[in-house]
Amino acid sequence: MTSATLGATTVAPRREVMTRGVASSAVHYATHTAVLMIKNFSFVIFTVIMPVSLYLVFSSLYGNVPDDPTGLASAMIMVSMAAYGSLGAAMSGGAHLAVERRSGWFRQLMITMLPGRVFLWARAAVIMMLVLPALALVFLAGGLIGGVQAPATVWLASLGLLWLGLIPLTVLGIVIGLWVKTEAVQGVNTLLLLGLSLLGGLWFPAELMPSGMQHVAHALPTYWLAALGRHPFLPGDAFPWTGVWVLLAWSVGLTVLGALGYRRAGATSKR
Amino acid sequence: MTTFDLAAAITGAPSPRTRDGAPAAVRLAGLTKSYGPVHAVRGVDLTIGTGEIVAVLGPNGAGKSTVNEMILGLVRPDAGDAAVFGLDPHEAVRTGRVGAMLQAGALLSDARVIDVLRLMRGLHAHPLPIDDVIARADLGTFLKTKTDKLSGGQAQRLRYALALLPDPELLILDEPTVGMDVEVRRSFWRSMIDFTSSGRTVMFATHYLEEADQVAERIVVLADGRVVADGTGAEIRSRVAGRTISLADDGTDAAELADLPGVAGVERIGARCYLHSTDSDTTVRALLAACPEAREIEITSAKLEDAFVALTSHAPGTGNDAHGARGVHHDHDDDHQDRKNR
Repeated sequence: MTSATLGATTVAPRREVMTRGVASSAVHYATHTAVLMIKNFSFVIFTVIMPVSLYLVFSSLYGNVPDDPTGLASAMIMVSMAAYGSLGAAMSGGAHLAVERRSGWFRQLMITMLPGRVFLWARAAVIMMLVLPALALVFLAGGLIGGVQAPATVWLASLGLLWLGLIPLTVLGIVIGLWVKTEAVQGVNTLLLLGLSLLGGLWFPAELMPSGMQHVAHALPTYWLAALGRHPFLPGDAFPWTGVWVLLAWSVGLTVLGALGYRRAGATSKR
Repeated sequence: MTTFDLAAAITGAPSPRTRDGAPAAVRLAGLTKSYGPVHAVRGVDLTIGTGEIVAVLGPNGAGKSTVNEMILGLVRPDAGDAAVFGLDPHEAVRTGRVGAMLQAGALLSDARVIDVLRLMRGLHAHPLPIDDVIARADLGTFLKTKTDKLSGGQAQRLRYALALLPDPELLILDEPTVGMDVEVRRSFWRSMIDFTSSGRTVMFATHYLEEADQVAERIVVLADGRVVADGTGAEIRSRVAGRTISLADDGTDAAELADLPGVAGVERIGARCYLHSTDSDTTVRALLAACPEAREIEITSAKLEDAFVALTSHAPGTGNDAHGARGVHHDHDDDHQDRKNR
């Protein structure tokens, strides 16, 4: 084969070297995507500023809680609002994804070395990175304005637990972005956000609900998200391990749905 | 076999036909894909050797894009097999051996051209240097432009750049020159030919027949999800319509003309007889021997477009047998035979 021999001098030797691994390509994708998202002003407003704004509005509505010398009630409000606000931010990643799916950019990504599931995790990691400052701002406002007082370790533990608890909800946003029609993503997101917050007891304690609804609440990731976030402020209470398992189960289930959706999106996204 | 001049100039040799055992760039066997009731691809067998430049022609809905998607692993075939350099398509993609320009492929929105290049460069195993890609695709003048603001031609050049980025051995280009003006189109092909000069393989789908004829050394015609012709531009032209010999109609018996060697079909239009011949030299000699009084003889070569129309409108399965296309079906049989022999 003449032309193969011709090409061999320039083409063949280079093939032996694989200069990049999947892990480094995933990190590359995540950091570049994060930078592009941060450059998008409206997205930053939504993810980072929205939660703290919500907290400020709600905490002023409730006013300074009377008979709260320890600041415990304020802390509970802060955690609930942090969970609610960051929930919206975590799920917002799906809207971006739906746009990319609709445009067909997805297909271009699928002809790279980045495997589908790694792509999804990288995408979730980007959202998680952006959610962290959003949570931190709510906590800052809680300390400065909301009258929440606690040792630094309690603050950090609560922040960390809330952040980890958001993992399944970030994946949920991605699953919606992969499965729901682009036009409907915003609506579905809002509906789920309201439903999950209300039924999960972010607006008023689930303990005030009728028992049937309490069962529902205990199956929802939002209920346990807030429970985990509250725990460090409630010394003496047992650690909510049930919540860890529930959140884990949601993560696994949604990841499977996401992987299926990614495959489907590649085959059906616009050409 | 005659090899097209430009193709010979590019590879410096006639195209290699991959024999059994050698790793073909692309090997499709019995590839089939349906979308619900729509049979997009109905059993495509195709082997493309390394270093070949192959054009895939076909009307809309012929299955070109679906075949491309199966070669890239984007779509899973219902039946049959696709192998790229002997590998599963996913593996070939993962190791950066394939680069593709998808049909009307989308670009990342809300990002500048340079951002898109930087993002995608990190996702390939052994990417080309970005400067090299920018130069080859001629992106220098609009690197800082947001993708949403690119003209059609600029967007195509960026898509081409994305296809080159993995430094692939096989380039799949789906209608690469759509939206380009004549000048850009010309420089695009120059760039592509330069890129392939080191023995890379190219498979491109196009609607522009003259492009296929000029750039590709081999043309595969798809119609109705099947390969209906496969050969050089010259072969395709001669296979289907060959040349047309016309002469003044002096009442010569049509059956007598049809029996002449090489004649695939006879038509009477106005005051002239048209003989479609697969071997015009032989036909003319026999014609002059049989009808010494024949006059006003003209020999014209068929255009690729004629061949294309004939092939794709009489594809097996469409059931369209009208218009005296007797010879076309005969040629189809030849064609199938020919492919089996390869």
